[in-house]
Amino acid sequence: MDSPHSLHLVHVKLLAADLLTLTSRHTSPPSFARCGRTVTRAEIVGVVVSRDRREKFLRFLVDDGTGCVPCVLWLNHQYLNANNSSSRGSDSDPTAEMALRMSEVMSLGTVLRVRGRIVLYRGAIQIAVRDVVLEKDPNVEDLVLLVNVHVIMVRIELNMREYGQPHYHLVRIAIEKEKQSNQRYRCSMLIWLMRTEKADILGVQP
Amino acid sequence: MNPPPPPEHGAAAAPRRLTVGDLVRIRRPTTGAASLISSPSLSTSTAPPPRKKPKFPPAAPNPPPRSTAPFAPIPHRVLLSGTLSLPAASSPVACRSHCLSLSDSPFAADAASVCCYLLDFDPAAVGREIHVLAWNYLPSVHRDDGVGVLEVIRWCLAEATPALGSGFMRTIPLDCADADELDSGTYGHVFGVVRSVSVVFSMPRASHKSDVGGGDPSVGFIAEIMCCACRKCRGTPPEADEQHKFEVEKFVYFVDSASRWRPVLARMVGRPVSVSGLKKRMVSVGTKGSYTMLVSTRKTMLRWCPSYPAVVELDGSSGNCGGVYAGVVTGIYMQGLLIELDETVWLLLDDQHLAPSHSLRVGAVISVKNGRAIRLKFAWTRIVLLGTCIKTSITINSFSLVDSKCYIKAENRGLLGKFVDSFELPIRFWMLILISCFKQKFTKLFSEKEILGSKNVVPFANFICKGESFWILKMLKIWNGTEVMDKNQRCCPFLCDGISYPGTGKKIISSSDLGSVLVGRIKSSSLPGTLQLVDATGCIDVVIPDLPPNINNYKVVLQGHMAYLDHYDVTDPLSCKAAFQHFSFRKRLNHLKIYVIINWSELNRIGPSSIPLQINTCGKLFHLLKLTHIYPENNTFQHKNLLGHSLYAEAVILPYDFKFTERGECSEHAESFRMSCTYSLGNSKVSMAKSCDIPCTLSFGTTKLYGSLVSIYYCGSVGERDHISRILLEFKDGMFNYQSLRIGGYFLLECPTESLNYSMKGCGCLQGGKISLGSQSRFWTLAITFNGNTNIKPANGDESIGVSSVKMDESFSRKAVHSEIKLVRTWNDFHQYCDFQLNIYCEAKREKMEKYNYICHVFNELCSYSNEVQSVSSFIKTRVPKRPSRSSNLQNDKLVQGDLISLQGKVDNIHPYGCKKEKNMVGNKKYNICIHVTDETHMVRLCGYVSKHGYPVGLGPGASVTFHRALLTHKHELFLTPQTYIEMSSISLAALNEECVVTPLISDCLKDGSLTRVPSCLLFSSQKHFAESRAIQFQCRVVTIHVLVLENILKDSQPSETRRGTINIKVLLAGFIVDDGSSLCCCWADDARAELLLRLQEVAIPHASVASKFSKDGVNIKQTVGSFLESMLKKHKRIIARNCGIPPGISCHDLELSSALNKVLSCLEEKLMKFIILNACWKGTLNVIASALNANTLNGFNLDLPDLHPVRNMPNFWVNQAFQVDPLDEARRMLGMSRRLN
Repeated sequence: MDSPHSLHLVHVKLLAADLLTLTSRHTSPPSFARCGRTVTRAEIVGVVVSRDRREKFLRFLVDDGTGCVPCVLWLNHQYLNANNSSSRGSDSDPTAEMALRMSEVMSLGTVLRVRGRIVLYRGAIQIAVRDVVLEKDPNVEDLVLLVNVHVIMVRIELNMREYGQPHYHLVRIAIEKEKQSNQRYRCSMLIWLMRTEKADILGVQP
Repeated sequence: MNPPPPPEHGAAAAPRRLTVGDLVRIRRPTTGAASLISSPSLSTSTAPPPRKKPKFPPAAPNPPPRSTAPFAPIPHRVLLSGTLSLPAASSPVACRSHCLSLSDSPFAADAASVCCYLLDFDPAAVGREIHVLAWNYLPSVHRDDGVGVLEVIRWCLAEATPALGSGFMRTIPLDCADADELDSGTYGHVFGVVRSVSVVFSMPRASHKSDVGGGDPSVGFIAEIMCCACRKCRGTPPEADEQHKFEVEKFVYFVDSASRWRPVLARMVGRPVSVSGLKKRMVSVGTKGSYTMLVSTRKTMLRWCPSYPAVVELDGSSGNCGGVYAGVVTGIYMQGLLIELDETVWLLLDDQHLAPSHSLRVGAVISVKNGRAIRLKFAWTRIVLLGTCIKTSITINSFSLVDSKCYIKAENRGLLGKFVDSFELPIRFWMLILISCFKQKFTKLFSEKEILGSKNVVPFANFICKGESFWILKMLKIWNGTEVMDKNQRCCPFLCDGISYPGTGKKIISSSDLGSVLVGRIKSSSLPGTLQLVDATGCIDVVIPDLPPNINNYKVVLQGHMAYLDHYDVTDPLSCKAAFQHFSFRKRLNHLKIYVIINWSELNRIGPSSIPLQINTCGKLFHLLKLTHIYPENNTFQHKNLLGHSLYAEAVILPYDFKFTERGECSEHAESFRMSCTYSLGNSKVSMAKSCDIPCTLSFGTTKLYGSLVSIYYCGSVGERDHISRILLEFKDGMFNYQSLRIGGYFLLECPTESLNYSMKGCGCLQGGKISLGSQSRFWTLAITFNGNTNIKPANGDESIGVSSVKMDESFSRKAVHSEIKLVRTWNDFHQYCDFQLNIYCEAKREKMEKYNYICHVFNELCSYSNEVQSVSSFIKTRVPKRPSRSSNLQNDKLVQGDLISLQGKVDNIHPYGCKKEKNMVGNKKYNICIHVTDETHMVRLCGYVSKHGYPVGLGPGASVTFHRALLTHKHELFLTPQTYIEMSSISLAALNEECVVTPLISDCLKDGSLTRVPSCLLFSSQKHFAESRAIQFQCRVVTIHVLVLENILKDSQPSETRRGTINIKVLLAGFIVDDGSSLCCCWADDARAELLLRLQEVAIPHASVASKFSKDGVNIKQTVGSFLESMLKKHKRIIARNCGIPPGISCHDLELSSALNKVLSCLEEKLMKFIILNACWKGTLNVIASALNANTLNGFNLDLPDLHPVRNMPNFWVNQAFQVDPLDEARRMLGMSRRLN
C-alpha cells in the first residue's frame, strides 16, 4: 500500500490550481492523484476571501492567485472523532478549543497556511482543515509561487543532466508541457522569468 | 470642454492687449501668452480693448513678500506689445550687459519701460515695435528700483520688415549719432565673426590723454572679432556672395555710449557683423607691451548680415576657453558662484555679470560659450568643472518656470574676495566646497573668521551617512552575489546552543580612500570611557590608541550584522551637491557601529594642550599607584553620583611617596628628591633621618632628576607588606586622558590635599578609601624600571621580579597580524611614552642591596593584586574539565559563585544570548550577550549582561580583548559581571584560522559550509541524504509529537519566581514527527531547540481553568507556554508523554502521560500537557539543520518508545539547530540557487 510514490501521509504543498485539478479516484473514501501519485492531504497558502461561520463548522475560501480553494474547519469535535472508537467526547477537549481559537483568528484578508485532508463535497474538492497558521509576512505568498517554479527548474535541471540539452530548449519544453496541462499560471511565470532580467537565472536568451 | 464663445462675442477672440505700463503693475511672477489652447477665453471684453486695468492681482502699495512660488498664469489670452530698444542707462547693472528694454509708445499716457530678455534674438527687432506672444514676468528683481524683468519666450514684429541698409548688410538701429555719415576712409572698420564678448567693465582713464575730461572711468567692453583678411573687405564695405575667410583676430573696444550695445553683440557671437566708424588706439597692458586696438567713436555703426550663415568656430580643445556647453540648471549655490548643470557639470561663475542673473534660475536651460572644461578627480567623486574667463558668454536657451527666485546677488565679491580669485580654477572650486563644509560644520562652534583660517573638512553628518550608505551598498552587493565577503566575515549565521545568530561583518576604510579630513572637538561623551569627535552636525565615536583635534590619517570602521538592507534614497553625502546644500541626516542603521581610529601622533591639535607636563609644586606629596581595575560604566558606584559621569578605577597605593626635598624651587632645578614611606607615623623629620637611601632617578623628557628612594619604615620585616592598600579612584567629568589608564600600569598622583605631611595617612587620601580626580588633578603615567629594565631581577638573581604585563606583550607580538589595528599601546610603548620614568638602581653595597631587594619584593607583591591574564588555552587547561557541561543556566543561578579571572583572546562571535533575540535588541538598557572568545586552539564563551553604554567601541568579531574580572563559576562557566572590564587590544580583519578553532566549548557547532541544503519538496524520499552523516538543512512543519520528556530544573529550596520570560524547566528529549511536504520523518531534539519546536517561549493562553491553575502571576498577565509547566513539573519532577496515535493524525486521546514520581496527573494537568502538544503542532514552517541519527542511539535514553508502524520506518534525525523561516531571505536564496543550477 505504501508505494514509494504514495504521498498519502504527508501534506503536499500545492497551488490552488493544482489542487482543484487533482484527478479523483472512485474509491471509498475517494482518493486523489497527481502525476500518478496518491495525494490525500494538502497544504495551501493564500488569502481568506470568504468566510461563513455556522454553528458546527466554518467554511472559507482561500485564494492563492491561481485559484480559490474551499475549506471547512469543523468546530463540532464529536463529528471529527466520529470514526474514532476511543472517543470519549469531553466538552472541553483541547482539540475543540484549538479549533475554536483558529476560527477566531481567521478573518477576511488574512494570509493563511492551511493544512488538511482533501475531501469531495458535492463532487467538488475541498479541504477539511486540520490546522491553520496565520502568516504575518506577506512575502510568504510569493515564496510559495517561487518554490513551485523552483521545483520545475530542478526538474529541468535533472532533465538537462540526463539529455544534455541546452537550457533554452528545456524551458521551452517545460512551457509547452505546462501549456498542454493547462497550467497557465506556471506557464506565465516561466515566461515572465524568461522575459525579465531573471532570464540569466534560467540561462536563456530572452 | 466649455462651449465656444457665443457668436456676438466673436471679436473677443482677439487677445486682450497689454501695455508695458500694465505689466509693471504686476506684483507677482506671472506668465502670459497670446494664444491659449486649453481654456478658451473667459474674457467678455470687446475689441478694441478698453484701457482699463486687467484683472491682475491688484497693485498693492506694499509688494507681498517674495516667495519661491512658481509663476501664476494669466488665465486669458493677452498680447503684450512695445518697442524694443537698448537698455536705458538707468537700468540695473545686472541687466545692462544682457537685457534690452521694452517700452510703450512715448505718447501713451502711462508710458513705462521694462528690462527684457529675448530668446531667439534677432537684431532686426531692435528699435521696432514687437508683439510679445509668450512671456514670463518677474517683478522687482532688484530691490532698489522695483522694476521687474520680462522674459520673452516668443515674439514677432508688429509690422512687416522694411529693409534697412543694403541687401547684404543691415544696419542695426542703435542710437548712433550720425549713422549715415559714414566715412570709412577716415575711420577704420572691421568685418568678421564675433568670437567672444567680454563683460562691461570700467577702467580708469589715463588723465593726460583724456579727451572727455579726467576723473570718470571709461566704461566699455571688448569684442573679439575674427576678420576677413581679403583686400576687398579691408578697403570697402563687404559684399555678398564672397567666400570670406575669417582668420585675422581683432579686438574692438566699445566704450562709453557704445557700451550699451553689449546685449546685442553678446547675442551675435558666432555671427558675422560689420563695425564701422572705429579709430585705432594703442593699448599698453602692464609691462607686457602695447597692442593696437580699435575703439568705438560716436560715428561707430553696427551692421549684420541676415543672409550669412552663423559661423560657429570655437576652439574646443581642453584648457582653452573655447568650449560650448548647454544644460539645465539643477542647482545654484554660494550666492550664485557655483551653478550645477545637468547634475553633473559645475559652472564656476567668476563674474556675476557674465550671465543675466535674474534668468539664471533652477530649471533654466543655459548655454555657456567659450567656457573651459576641466575634469576634476577627487578621491570620493569625479566632476566636470566649467570655468569662465573674460571671453565667456552665457545665454539663456529656455527660461525656468519651476523657480522664480533669483539666487544671484549682484555684488557679492565680499565672500572670499580676491583671495579665491587668485587661485587656479580647480583650487577655487575646492575652496568653495571647503568653505561650504566649514560653514555647516562650525556654525555654532566657531565664527566664520575662524573657519576660514582652519583646515579642510567634512561634516560628521555627511560622514556618518556616507558610512551607512557604504555599508548598504556592500550588503546589497553581497546579496546580489556581485561581491564575496572575506572569509572571516561571517555571512552565514553563527550557532550557539542550537540557536543561530546573524553573522557580523566589518569593513575598515582608510582615510586616504575617503579623501576627507575630520575636524572636531574631542570630548568625552556623556558615557564615561568613550571619546567622541563633535561638530555642529553630529558626533562620531573615536578610539585613540596611543594617547599623550583635525585628523588627517584615520581609519573608519563599519561593523554590523550581515543582513539585507534596502537602498538609501539620498544623494551621495560626500558629493559636491551635498556639501553645498544643507545636509540633513538621521542615522538609520542602528545596529551599524561606525567609529574612527586615529593615532595620537597623527592628530594635529588645534586647541591648546590639556596635559600640562610640569612639576613646580615642590613641597607636595606625590603618591605612587598601580592600577588594578577599571570599572565599566553604570556600575554599582554610579548611582551615588548621578550628576556627573564619572569613571571609576581601583588602584593599590605603594608604600612610597615622592617628596621633593628642595623647598620652594621648581623641580626643574631640583637636584634631588626622596621617596618617603607612606607609613611614617612618627615625626617626619625623625623618620627622614632614619631613611635608607636607594638611589633612583625621575626623568621626564630630557630632564633627569637624581634622588634617592627613601623608606623610613626600615626595610626588613616582610610581614609589613600587607600595608599595601587598595583605593578607589574617581575620574570626574572633563578628565579625558583616561584612555591612558591601563590595568597594571603605574601612575604618579599629586596628592590632592594640601597637606605637607609626609605621611599618606596624614594627607587624608586613604581615609575615605576614595580619591576624586577632576580636570585640575595632576595624574601622570609612570614607568618604573629597575636598573634601567622593566623586568629586573634583584641583585641576588634568584627571584623573578617584574611586571606581568611584559608577558602579555609577548603574546601580543606573537599574534600580531598584518591587518591588525592596535587600539592600545603595547607595554613597551606604554613605558616608553610614559609621562615620567622612575628608575631604581642598585648599588653594590650590602645593606643597599637588601633594601633594593625589599623594594623589589614590594613591587612583586603588587602583582598579586591584579589577576594574571590568561589565554584561552591556558584557561581551558587549568580550569575547564575535559567535557564541559552542555547546559548553561544563567537564569537559574540565583547566587552565582566563583572566581574572578582575567582572560585574553580574540572574539569569534558576539550575539544576543538566549532564544528570544528580539528581547535583547536595541533600546533595552542592558544587553544579554554571549561572547565567544578564542585563541589559536580553543574557544570559550562568556555570557552576561552588558549595559548599552558599557559596550566598548570596537567590540566585535576579530577583536583582541581582555576581560578583566570575568566570573568563573564552579560549574566552569564564564560570566560577565557588572564589574567586568573589557579592554580592547586590537581589531583585525584577518581571518581566524578555521583549523585552529577546534574546541567549540558549548555545542558541537557545525561548519557552515558543510551543510547540504535539501531543496524544498525535493525530497526526503530521495533518500540520498540519509546515508551521509553530514548535517542537512530543510524546511518542515511539526505534524505530531512522538515522545516528550520534560524535567524540572529548580531545586526545592530555590524560589520559583525568577525573571519573567525564562522557564525553569528543561526538555530532556522530544521526538517530533515532521512533514516537509514530501514525506515524514522523526526529528529528535533537546533543550533550546526543542523549546523552539514546542513553542515554549511563545505567549499563548490555555483554557481558562488550566490557565488559572498554573499561571504564575494570575490569569490576566500574558505568559509563555512553558511557564505554565513550571509548577506542574515541580510537583512531578519529570513528565513523559507518548503519542500512540498514528501520524499524521493527531488526537489527544492517543496521548499517554506519566509522571516520574508515579503520581497521577490531574485532569487539569493532563489538559495542559495536551494543550502544549497541540499548540506545538500548529506552528508554521521552520528551518531545521539536522544530522541523521541511528535509531539505536535513542535506546540510551531508556525510554519506552511507542512502536508504531509508520514511525518505525521513518528516518531519524537529530536537530542541531532550528530557526524561523524568513520568506524574503528564503526567496532570495532560492533565486540564487536557481542561478547556480543553471
